[in-house]
Amino acid sequence: MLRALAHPAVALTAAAVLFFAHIGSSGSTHRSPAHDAPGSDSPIPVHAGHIGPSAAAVWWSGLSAATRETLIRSAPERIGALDGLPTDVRVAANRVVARERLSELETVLTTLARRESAPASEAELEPLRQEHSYLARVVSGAVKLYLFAPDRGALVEMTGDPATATGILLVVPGTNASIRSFMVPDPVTAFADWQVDHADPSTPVVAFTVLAAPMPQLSIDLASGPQNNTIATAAGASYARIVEGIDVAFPGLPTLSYEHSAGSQVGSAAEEDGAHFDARFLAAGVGATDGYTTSPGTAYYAAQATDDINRLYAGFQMGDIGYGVGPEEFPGITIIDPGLSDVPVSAMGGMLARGLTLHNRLFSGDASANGTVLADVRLLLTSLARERTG
Amino acid sequence: MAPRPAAATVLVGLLVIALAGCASPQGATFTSVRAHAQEAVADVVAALPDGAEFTPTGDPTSTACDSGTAGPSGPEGTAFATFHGSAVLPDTADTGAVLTELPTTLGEEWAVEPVGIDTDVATVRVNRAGTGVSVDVTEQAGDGPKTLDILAVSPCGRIE
Repeated sequence: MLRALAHPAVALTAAAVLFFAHIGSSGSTHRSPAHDAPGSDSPIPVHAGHIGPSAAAVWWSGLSAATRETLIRSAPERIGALDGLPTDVRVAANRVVARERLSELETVLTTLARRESAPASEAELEPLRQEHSYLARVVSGAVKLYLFAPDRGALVEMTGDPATATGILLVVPGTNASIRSFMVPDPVTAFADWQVDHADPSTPVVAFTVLAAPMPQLSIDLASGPQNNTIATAAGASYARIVEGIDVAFPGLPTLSYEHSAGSQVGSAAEEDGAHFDARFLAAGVGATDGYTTSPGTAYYAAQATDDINRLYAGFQMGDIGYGVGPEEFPGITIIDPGLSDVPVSAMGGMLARGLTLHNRLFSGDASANGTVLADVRLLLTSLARERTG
Repeated sequence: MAPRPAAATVLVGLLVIALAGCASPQGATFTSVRAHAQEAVADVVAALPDGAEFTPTGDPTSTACDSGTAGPSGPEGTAFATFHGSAVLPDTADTGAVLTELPTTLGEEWAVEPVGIDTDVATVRVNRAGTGVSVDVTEQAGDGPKTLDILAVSPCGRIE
């Protein structure tokens, strides 16, 4: 379905771009999650991704403390990715993985620094330094990784105290999110960090910023861009498994999935793969692909500015291109005014710049920029926790 | 397919223009926005029933504004202020009534902002005209004394 578009001239351009794109392409850059395949002598009787989180939890609870410690040391990648295990176990295992990677990085950086012929450029060094700085904080315990699987483009950072939490916030970044998005000075964890830091003290929150799989990236190749719905859909299957594991680790706690931009298709696809949320909040979301139906028992919220750039193509889908169900078309969804009225139309970028700025603001942890939505999500978390505890 | 690269060029060009034009005007100083936020909290606490006691949750925080609001020169040299704390009310206070009457008690300089969530939690969001400071006041859960959670956030300001 093609909705009425707010800006006809830009909408026509967008429609043309979509029309000329590779309609029906399945050329996703997404790599299927690499299922772990331990050897026959592995002390781990389960394969990550091949066993349900509940069974993994039962298996883990039956091990002695010494065996658990041995497994964390000897197979940290598998333990750190095994859904259903307690968060402290996964964080400890991923800290071991990070320490190993940090050691490798230090070797690489030392080698580059000593290289006299063709010295490394700043562009080459900067991402390595950012990764080094990030992993050093993981090793020190300042950053907690619930999942660290860069080989399959997945990372989940946890914020807050799982021991005291009364609710769970899951934050799903959208287009252009990557492993590196966690390591830059303005990281994708900012929204989750704000919620944890400013939660109502009577209802503390634990948050997970979830990069479940590679996300769409803006590029010249339109098949890898956000308009290709297969990328976010594939990430949804991984997100569903992660959510199931978190549900097992935190039985009875309510979950709110805050999804930005293409992240909302990750949430929609996860529901179709069996994930359940108490609430979903689509922030400047793309919505869902054709055929999507809402889940009973889930409350839905959507926020996007009147001039959000997303509105140019909301509700339009042709095969693998686009998203047929716009976020505000979800049956029964509560539409929230994000209160973004102070973004001027700049001289150079005009309406597009404004639309993009408004779009990105809804993922900001800057309360001076995204205060209304931050406060509404904070209140929603409080409300969900109190409903659950009565 | 010839049209595809052309379409890609159009889209990427539009996005480059959009990104290049991304700019926000410079606003007030951080000193002034921080003072406004602090005054807002003081006003809210003063409007609570006699005997209410406010305790800050740690020190007020100053956080760098993000690149979307900080203006063309980036987030360096900008910040917004956050004040967070709890106010314990006298045992005799009716928490719901306190929150309902708070905007009126605060006076005409204050306005009520709509809350987007339909919830049974007693809450009110107010802002003081001309300051851009928004304050959320929410009833806390628990079996202890009647307590309100107070969170105030300032706009982005320039650090001088």
